Amino acid sequence: MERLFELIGRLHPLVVHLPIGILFLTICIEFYIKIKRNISIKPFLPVLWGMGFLTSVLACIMGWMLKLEGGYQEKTLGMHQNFGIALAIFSGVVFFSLKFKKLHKIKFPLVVISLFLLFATGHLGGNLTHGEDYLSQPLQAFLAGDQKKAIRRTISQAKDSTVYATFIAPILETKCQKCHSSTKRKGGLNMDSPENLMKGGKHGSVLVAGDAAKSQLYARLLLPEGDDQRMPPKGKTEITANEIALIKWWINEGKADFNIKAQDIAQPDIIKQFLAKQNDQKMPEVAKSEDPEIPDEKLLKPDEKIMLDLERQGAVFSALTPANNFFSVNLVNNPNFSDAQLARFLKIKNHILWLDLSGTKITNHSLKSIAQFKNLTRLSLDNTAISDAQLHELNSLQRLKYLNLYHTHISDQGLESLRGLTKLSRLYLWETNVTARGVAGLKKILGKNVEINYESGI
Amino acid sequence: MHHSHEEEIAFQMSRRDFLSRSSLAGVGLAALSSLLPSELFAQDNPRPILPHFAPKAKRVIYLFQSGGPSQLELFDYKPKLKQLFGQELPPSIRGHQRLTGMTSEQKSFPLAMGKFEFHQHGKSKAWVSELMPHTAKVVDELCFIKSMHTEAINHDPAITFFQTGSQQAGRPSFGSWMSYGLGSENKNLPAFVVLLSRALPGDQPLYTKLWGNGFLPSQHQGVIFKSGENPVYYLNNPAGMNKTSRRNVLDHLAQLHKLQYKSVLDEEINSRIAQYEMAYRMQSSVPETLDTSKERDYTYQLYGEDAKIPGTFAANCLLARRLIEKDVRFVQLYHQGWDQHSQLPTKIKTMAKSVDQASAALIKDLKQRGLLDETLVIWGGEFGRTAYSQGALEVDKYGRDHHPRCFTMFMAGAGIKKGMTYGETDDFGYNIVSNPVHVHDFQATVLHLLGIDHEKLIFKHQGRRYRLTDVAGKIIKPILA
Repeated sequence: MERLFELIGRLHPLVVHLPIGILFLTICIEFYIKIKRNISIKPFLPVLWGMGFLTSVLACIMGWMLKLEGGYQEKTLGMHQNFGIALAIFSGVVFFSLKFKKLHKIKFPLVVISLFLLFATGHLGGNLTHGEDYLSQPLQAFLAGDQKKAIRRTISQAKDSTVYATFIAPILETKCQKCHSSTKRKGGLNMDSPENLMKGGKHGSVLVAGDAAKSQLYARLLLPEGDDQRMPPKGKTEITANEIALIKWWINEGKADFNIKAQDIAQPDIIKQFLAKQNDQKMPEVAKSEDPEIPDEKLLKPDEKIMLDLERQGAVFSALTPANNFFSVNLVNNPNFSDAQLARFLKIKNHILWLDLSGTKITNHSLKSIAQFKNLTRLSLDNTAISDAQLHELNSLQRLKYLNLYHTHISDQGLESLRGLTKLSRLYLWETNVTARGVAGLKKILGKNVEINYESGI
Repeated sequence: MHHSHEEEIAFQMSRRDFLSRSSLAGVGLAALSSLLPSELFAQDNPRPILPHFAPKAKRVIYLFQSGGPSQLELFDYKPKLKQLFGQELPPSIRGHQRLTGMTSEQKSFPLAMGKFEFHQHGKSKAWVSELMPHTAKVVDELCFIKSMHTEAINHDPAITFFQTGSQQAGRPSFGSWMSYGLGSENKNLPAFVVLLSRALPGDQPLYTKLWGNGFLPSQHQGVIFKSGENPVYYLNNPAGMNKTSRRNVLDHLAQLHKLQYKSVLDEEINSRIAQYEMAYRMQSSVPETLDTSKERDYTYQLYGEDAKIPGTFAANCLLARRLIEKDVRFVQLYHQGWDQHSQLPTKIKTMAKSVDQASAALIKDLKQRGLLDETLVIWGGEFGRTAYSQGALEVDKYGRDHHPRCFTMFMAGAGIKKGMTYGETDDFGYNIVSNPVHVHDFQATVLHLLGIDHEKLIFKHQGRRYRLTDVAGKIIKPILA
C-alpha cells in the first residue's frame, strides 16, 4: 500500500497541471464574459468549473500522498497544501453557485480569489520542486549584470581563503542544494551550512574527516550512473571530474575542516594543475566591495559558542555588515580585561574590523596578538599601559586607518616604529610623551593625508 | 455581575486577543483565514537585520536648542537687514507665508537687526556672530546647514516633528529608533539618555513624549538623567533594603513575569523584565558614570565654570562626553530658552553665553580623545525666527516670531564634511535660495551615517508600516565626508 501511495503521490506534479490549465482557462473566460458581456460561451462554464473542481480535488489527494513521503520544507509545504485545498473548495463553490441564482452576486469575487489562489499554489509548488531561488536567482543575476560570477572568480584567486568557502561551498550550492536545502530536505539532508552538513541526513553522517571513501558526500558521486544511490541523480546537473577531485582533496587532505586554507595542506598534482589554471585565467573586472572599510574576503559566520564565550569576557559586539560576518568590539563593560583574555579573541581575528580596548588592563604583551587582527581598520588603545616597546608589531595591520593612543606612555621613539602604517589617516596622541618633532617626523613618512592630534584642545 | 479582579483581566486580555486576531476576518475572507498558516501573520515585526551597510558613526549627541534660536543673530549673516533696518519686508518675499496668531494681525512687518558683529573664521571662512566666540574657533570642524526648513510653525508640533518624524504625538523618538535598530554598546547603561537644562525661565515646556518609545518596545524609551542626588527616578533601593534582597526580589519577580508571559504572550512583559534588569545594573553604572569628582581643572577651563553647576547646559555637555566614553548610543540634550518673541537682543546674549563655550568644548574634547571620529554631534532648534520684528521695533529691543521657512543647524564629527556650509538663504534671511534640507532629509542623512537605510528601518503597528522619515526624506550627499 505504501508503495502504491508513493507511486500515485509522485504523479502529483503531473496531474496538478490539469486544474491549473482548466481553471486558468475558465477564469479567463469569466473575465471575458464580465468585460465583453458576451454570453454565448456561458453554457460551457458549468462543465469547465466542474472539471476544474474535480481535477483539483484529485491533485489535492495525490499531493497529500506525496507529502507522506516527506523531504519537503514544512512551512512552504503547509502553505502550498492550504492554498491548494482552498482553491479546490472555492472552485467547488463557484461550480455550485452557477446553479443557484441567489449566489450569483458573490460569484465574481470568488472567481478573483480563485485566480489569486491558483497563482499562489502554483508558485509555492514550483518553489518546492525547484528551490526557492529558482526564479529570483536568474532575476537578480540579470539585474546585477552577471556581477555574481565576477565575485566568485576573485574569491578563487585569493590565496589565503579557505578551501571550503572558496571551492567546496560553490559546488554544493550549484550541484546539491536544489534537493538538499532548508526548503527541500531530500533524505533528511540539508547542505546549506557547515553545521547542517555536519548533522548529516537520514542515513547518518555524510563526512568522515580524512577518509573520502567512507564519506557519503564523496562516495556516492562515484557510483555508476544506473545506481539508485548515485548523486546527483539522473536528470539533474552533472558534477564534473574536477569538482569530484576537489571534494576528495578537501576531505582527505583538508580533513573536512571548514576553516582550512589551500596553502596549508598538501596539493596532489591534479589540484595543483587546477589551481594553476584558475590563476592563469584572465580575471574579469573585479567587483570590489563598495565600502573600502569591508574586506572582500568571504567569511563564515563565527561559531555561536565562541561568541558567547567572548561576551562572557565582557565584549560587546556590533555587526558592521548585514550578513553579520564583520564586527566592531568594545570592552567598556570590563575594565579589568587582560592580555590573557585578549588571546581568546584570536579565534575570530579576521572577523573584527573595529577593536576598542580603551581603559582596559592590556599591556604591551598584547601587541603581538593585536598584530594578527589583519582586517582591523580602527584600533583604540587609549588609557592603557601601552608604551613604545613592541609597538612596531602594529605595522602588520595594513588596513589600519584609525589609531587611538591618547593617554598612554608612547613617546617619539614609539612613533618611529609606526612608520609602516601606510593606510593610516587619523592618529590620536593627546596626553602622551610625544613632541612636535616626533609628530613632524612621522608625518613626513606617512604623507599629508594623515591627521595627527596630540595637543590639548584649549 | 461580580467578576474577581483576575477574571476581569483574563476577560480583557482574551477580548483584545480576539480582536487583534480576528482583524483578518474583517476583510470578508473569514473562510480563507482559517486555512492560511498563522506564520504569515504572527511575525509583524521580525528583528531588524542591521546595519544595512557599514556605519560611519557609532554614536550621536544631539544638542537640541529648544524654542527656536534665531539664525539671523547667530550664524546666517545678513548685512542687508542692518541697512534696511525699520523698512517693510517686501510682500513679494513673504508671499503667502502662513503666520502664527502672534503676528498675523500685525499691520507692519519692519525688518530688524541688532548691533551684533559678524566675522569670518578659520580656514573655511565661516561667518559667525560675536555672540558665539568659542564656536567661532572650531568652525573648521563644523558643517553648517543654513537651508533647513520644516512644516510646523509652533513649538510642540515642530519639536515632535524633529524628534519623531511626525507633528502628531505617538511615534517613537529618534533615539528610540536607534536603540531598537542598533541595540546597546554598553550592557550596563541605556542606549538612549536624555539630559535637560534651561538658561531662561518660563520658556516653552518639553514633554516626555519627545523621548518616548511610541509603539516600539518600551525598553527603547529615553531615560532622563537629572541633576542632583538621584539622577534616575526610583533607581536606588529604598531605605533598609540591601543588594541581596533586591536581587532576590527581582529574580522572583522575573519568574512571575515569565509565567504571565506564557499565558498572555504580550511582548511588553519581556520589555519589563529587561527594564528591571537594566535598572539593577544602573544602580552601580550610573553613579560611576556621572561622578565628575575626578575631572581635572583642565576640564573646567575647557567647558567653563558653569560645568561645575549641575543641571546647566555646560554640565550636561560634560556628562554627554562621559556617556559617549561609555559607548552610550544616543545622548539627547534639550536646552530651553530660545523662544524670543520680545527683548531678543538681551535674551539671546544670555542664551548664547550659556551654550557657546560648552558646545565648542564638547567638539574639542571629543576630538582630542579620538571620539569625534565615531560620534556625530548635532546642534539646532525646531525652527528659525522671522526677519521682521514682532511688536515695536528698537535696535536693542525687538522680537522675532517663529519662522519655519529657513533656519541654521550645524553638525560635526563622524562621516560629516568639515569646515563646510551647505545651503543658502536670500538677502532677507527669509527664503531658501539653494539646496533646501527638509527635516526628513536631515533624519535620513543621520540614519545613513549610522549604517541605516531610512526606508528599511520599519515597524508595523496597527496595520501600517512606520518609519522615522514617514514617506519622505532623501540623503544629503554633498555633506558626507
